[in-house]
Amino acid sequence: MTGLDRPLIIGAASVYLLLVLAVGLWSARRTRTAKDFWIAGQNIGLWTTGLATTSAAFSGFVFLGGPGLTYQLGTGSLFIVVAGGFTASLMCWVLAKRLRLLAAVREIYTIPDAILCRYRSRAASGIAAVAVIVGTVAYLGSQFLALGRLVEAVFGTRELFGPQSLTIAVTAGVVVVVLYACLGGMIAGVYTDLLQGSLMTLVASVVFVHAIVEGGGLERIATSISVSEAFGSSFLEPLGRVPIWTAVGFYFVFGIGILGQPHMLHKFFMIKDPRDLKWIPLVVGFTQTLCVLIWLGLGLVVPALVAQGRLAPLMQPDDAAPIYLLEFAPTLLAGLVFAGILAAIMSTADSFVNIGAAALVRDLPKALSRELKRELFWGRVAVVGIAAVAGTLAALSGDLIATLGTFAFGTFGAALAPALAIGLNWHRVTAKAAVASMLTGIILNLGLELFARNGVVLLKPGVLTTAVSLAASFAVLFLVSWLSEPDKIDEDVAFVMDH
Amino acid sequence: MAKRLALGFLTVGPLVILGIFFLTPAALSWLFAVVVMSFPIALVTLAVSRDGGVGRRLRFPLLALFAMLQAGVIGVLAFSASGVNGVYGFPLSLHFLLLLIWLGPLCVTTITYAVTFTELGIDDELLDQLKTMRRDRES
Repeated sequence: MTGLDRPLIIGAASVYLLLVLAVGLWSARRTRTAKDFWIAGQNIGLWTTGLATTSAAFSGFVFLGGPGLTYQLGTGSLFIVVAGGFTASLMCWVLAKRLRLLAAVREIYTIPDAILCRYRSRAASGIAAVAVIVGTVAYLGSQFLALGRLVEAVFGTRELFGPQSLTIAVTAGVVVVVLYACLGGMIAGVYTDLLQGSLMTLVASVVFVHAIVEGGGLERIATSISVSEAFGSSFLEPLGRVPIWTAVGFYFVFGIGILGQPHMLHKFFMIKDPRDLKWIPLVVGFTQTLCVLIWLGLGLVVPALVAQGRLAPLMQPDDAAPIYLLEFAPTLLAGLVFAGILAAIMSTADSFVNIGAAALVRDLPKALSRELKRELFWGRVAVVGIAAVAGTLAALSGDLIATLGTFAFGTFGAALAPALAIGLNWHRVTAKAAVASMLTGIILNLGLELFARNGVVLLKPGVLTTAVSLAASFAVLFLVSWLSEPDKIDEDVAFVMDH
Repeated sequence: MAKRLALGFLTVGPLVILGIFFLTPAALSWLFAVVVMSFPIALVTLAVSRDGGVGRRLRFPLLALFAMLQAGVIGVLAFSASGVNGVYGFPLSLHFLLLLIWLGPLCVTTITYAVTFTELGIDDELLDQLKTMRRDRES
């Protein structure tokens, strides 16, 4: 069954898309300067910032990839999301205040801008820009892939277009995001985030309750999974199907690597009143927790339904969420959830095309001591270019959604987290150390990933390449900092760091 | 003292993790888990330290968070595949994960941050000082 058999689902998705385009048009009128395009004019309030942070972080990865990963790995997949218990507060304590205050004393619109101010090094900011571009293309690719799979499931394009189905579905998604992101930049981004963050939180909570009821209650879910041959009791054990290196490695990468995620940190530049930061961890922490309920709920109930014989075993794990929604959820709920997932994917994609475009037209030229005139115009052009490259990657890669997202997340974390998290809190980190750390993170993450994909095994089973590169990046930062002469830090930057 | 401890841990911790990744003894898996769970505490300690210490109001919440995360991961390891079940027939190890590694830290950290926010010193005076600095730099 596809959404074509249930027109209400298509209707809900269409209403959402129209709302998004309306917000895009509204935002376009308010987007007059580069500051408007990159950081929404630095005029955003608490709830918009909080929900924008949540929805930028959570998208296809949580709503589609998460249940699929749980179907594959059991509850060990939860190590990816349980770090959300402290990450909102961690980001605020370690980085949010410093970044926002830096944006008060300097013209800072991007993470590489912040790195340039801190380290006074064009090499450091240039490498950060390259890391942002590489990670953005991979992350965007994962979002477009998720979008394509969703369109396939809802609109039945596999039956209509056969082997070309995914390419067509991805292309349609890219076109919508480009229109939207070009029109309104980050103003469009954050105000749709407000809409969809609310929608995501609501639907995730409702789907969780529905799923538990549909599965026969928590006890029946646990029992049916435990006694089934396909899953067994190991499925419910956090370390049942996932070695400890992988499980705790996930926690390390997603818990600490979050300090290098530009699409989340970038939101702190936009907040109008820095005093609103007081409530950000509560808003972000609790909305993220509610969103994760869909990962937990569908991750448990889909295997339970397979174990109970009410659902055929899945051909692809990432079909867990769409199949549940199409086969078991009431039409209205399914429609809202599909609209919510569509919203989540597109908004995350919008954040990434924006920061990727900024890296291309603002950060890289600055690192090369050139600055583009007409930054707003070239920003829009760059949005199209970045989206096209990422869309091509999505259509050709064939990866599981979660795998591609993890790789991109890991690239950002390994490249940027140490230089930012330690560098903005300890004077002793030098530009040399930041450069060495970022290069270590990028090269190791990419290199280990390429080796693994070509069958060259350098790490023991279960060890995540992203965890290795993150740890190595931290180690190199400290080693080089201790060994190099301290750098001069500008007075205003030092004031922000010390205050 | 707290800041020095945090810096010391953050310098040595990644090296320990890398060492464990390339060695094979299963017993070191416990050490790996304990080191990773200490990372967020060390980072927050570094960020909030003033004059070397974290201040009275943050000391207890940070210690509580540390204890919670360590107890959580040790509980997951200790009860893994033990066959001991908790509520609704879910494994006890899963309870440790959800309650002590996820929901407990969520409550402690978000509330602590809001309650101790004034100690971060973001007030009208600071914001005026920043505006003055920017004006002076741009003029």
